[in-house]
Amino acid sequence: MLRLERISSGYGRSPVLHEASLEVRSREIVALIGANGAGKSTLLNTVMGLVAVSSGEIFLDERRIEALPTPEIVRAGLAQVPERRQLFGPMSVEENLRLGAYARTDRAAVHETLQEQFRLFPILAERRRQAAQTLSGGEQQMLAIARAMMSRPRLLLLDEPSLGLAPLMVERIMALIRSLRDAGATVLLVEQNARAALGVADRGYVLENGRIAVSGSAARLLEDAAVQDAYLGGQAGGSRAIEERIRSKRRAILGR
Amino acid sequence: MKLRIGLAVFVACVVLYPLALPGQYPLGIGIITGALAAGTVGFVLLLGYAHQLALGQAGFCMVGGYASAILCVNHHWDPLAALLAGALVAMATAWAIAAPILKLRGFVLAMASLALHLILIVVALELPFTGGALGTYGVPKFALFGLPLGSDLAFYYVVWLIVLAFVAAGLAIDRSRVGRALKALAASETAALSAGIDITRYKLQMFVVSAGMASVCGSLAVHYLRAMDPNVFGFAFSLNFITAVIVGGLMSVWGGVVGAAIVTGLREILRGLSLPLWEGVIMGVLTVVVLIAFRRGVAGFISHLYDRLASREAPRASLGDPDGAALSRSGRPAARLEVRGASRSFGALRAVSEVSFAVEPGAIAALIGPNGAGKTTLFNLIGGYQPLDAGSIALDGARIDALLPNRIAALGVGRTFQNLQLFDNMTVLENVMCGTHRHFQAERVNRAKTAAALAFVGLRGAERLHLGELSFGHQRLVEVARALALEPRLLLMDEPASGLNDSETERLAELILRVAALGVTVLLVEHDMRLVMGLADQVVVMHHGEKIAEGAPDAVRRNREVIDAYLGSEHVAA
Repeated sequence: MLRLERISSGYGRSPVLHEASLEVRSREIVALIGANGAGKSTLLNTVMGLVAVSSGEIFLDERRIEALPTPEIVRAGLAQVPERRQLFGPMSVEENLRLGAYARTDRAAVHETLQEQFRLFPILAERRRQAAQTLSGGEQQMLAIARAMMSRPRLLLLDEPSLGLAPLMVERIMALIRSLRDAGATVLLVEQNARAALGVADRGYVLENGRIAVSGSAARLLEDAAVQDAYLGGQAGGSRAIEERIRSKRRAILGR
Repeated sequence: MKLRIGLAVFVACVVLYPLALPGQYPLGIGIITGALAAGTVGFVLLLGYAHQLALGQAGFCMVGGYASAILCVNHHWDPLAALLAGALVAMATAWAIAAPILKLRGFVLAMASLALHLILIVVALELPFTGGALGTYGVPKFALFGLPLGSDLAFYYVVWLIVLAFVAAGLAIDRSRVGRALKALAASETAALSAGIDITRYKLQMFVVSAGMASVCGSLAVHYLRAMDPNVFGFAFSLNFITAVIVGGLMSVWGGVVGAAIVTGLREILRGLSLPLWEGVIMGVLTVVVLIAFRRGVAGFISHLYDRLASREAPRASLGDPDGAALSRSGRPAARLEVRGASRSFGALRAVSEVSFAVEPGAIAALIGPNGAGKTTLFNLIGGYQPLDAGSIALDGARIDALLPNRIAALGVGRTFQNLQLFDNMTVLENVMCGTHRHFQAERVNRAKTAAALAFVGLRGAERLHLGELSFGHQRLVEVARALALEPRLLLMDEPASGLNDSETERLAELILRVAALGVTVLLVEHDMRLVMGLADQVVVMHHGEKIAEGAPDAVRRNREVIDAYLGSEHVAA
């Protein structure tokens, strides 16, 4: 569905992405993981037309979109859920959702999509009259995703949906992303939390210094020794291993 | 270098102007420009530095103008003494009204200050000694120490000497810790408070200083016009004042001078074309054009051009590893924090409800709980950003819950924020230097301490970078460095690992341990359980505003209530 071919892009004179190629097929979840500053958000912004491409091509199906302005790209069926959500805080949940359908011309069908979101995210139906800024972090993240879904995108771009969420809420959000896919959505998921992202994704790409370093099925990346070392906190045991290493550092530095 | 060139060009322009354009008329324009510049320099300090949208500054010009006119004409004062008296009255007035008026923000402040200007115009019309609508006439020529200035040329030089003094004062403020504090509060008041900066005080100072300068502007203009009435500094003049600083640029006091010259010069040219009706239209169009073309004003544009021409290699970051030896244990002992019965409600929502716990000196404690449990609110209570409804918070046994945030910071409570609160109008170095604000020591010492803090967190080499050139993770480290520059005894960190990947999280863990080893008590809010369970001596769990558990990491991890409310299945102890 979406194909990036040898894309280089960046801000001003300094490129961030170097000939990155990536593909998202219909009805799959693709995870893009990597360190801070590796260029993950830049890649999303490049796809959305927010960052200028210096070379390479981006195809949505067979249509080239790398030179299109952002509103055109949104109309072509892409929707981005930005990092840190960017909701309309004082407006109600329902108003936020309706704004997500702002670019749509089929006014009559918007109500149907709205009901669909309320079915997928029952908590939002409960809070539909509440101001977005009064929701908890996890609920806000759900609202941001639901708002993006309101434009009935062909492809959903999620930027760090787990950011700042409690562990329990991260599990819920990831389960929700999977249920979106099961309902027919296609998702490109950018995550710092590589374990959670690969846990839900079908395939994954690892971005290092603006270049795609590794790619493959999510299961294979979870097994990959280099990926484990760099992004999953080392060999099997995962999160427990990091905790243990932090504890041993504590003994070394603080002596307790 | 840039500063010297600026001053040289300024002096050259002032000296050469009367030589290049001799005659009474151009000289008059030069004097009026100078008088206006004296006021606009102060206005830049208020609007550009302190970000206070008080648009009624022409009211203070009226104070100066009437002081000079009335004292010189009716009471035969020396003009210089009258000018100083006017400035003092203006500054005293500003100081007196600052408390209520600077509480207002943005457009409300703009309207309130314009309303004050309107009141002054009406008062001037009605008071018995102002001359009413006719005004006061026969103001003498300016004099210095009793010696009348024989020629307008002499007055011209005196006026511009005063402008030079004001510019020098403005530049000195810009380069001092006060200037840095002003830039900081313009970018983020919350972060400025966390660095121990008393924002109310600096807003007040700039309001008073700019009122004084506006008053001098009024006095000088009146000595040139030789008359004063309520229309001299009316709303049209206010508009000129505002246009001048916007066209000139709010980034530095030079913008005030450049803007005053452009506005006065342009008005005279338009008068020469004898199209008085079009004057307002053309001025308006010009303002819009300049705003679109040079967003930082003409002076900002020139400065930017200079930087581009003079710029050598763009600074590149070659970030080093954290240098644990860069900072050493401070003499002051770590603080003990005690929270007792802390409560805080927002309407019907009990955000924090009777929470009590203590963190022993030097310990690392973690505050965890679901999103919306009240953790950040509790942080805000400890830092003094919000008042307690009930309960108390004490540092080493002394209550701090009634203190302002900058006072609490000055006691040695550092803080980092969940959504970064950095000063995006400054370099990395300046950001961290703000942390040294409370120390009142030589800039050289501050610089050395800043460099050490940057090296400690692993940002050696990033000093000259702008924040936008750093990744999110590195920006977090800048915040930590700024908090360390405060030399804290207690450090509050709000979700420091959010947005970091695993290897970065491990490096952060090591950094927090090294901070604790410096003799700093650490309290963190964090969702990354590996970090919390690995680092903390003590974990406090909140849910719906209440404390539901407290204890060592392993005990908390096995607590059924904590698992159900927060941890979920994945983190249950193996």
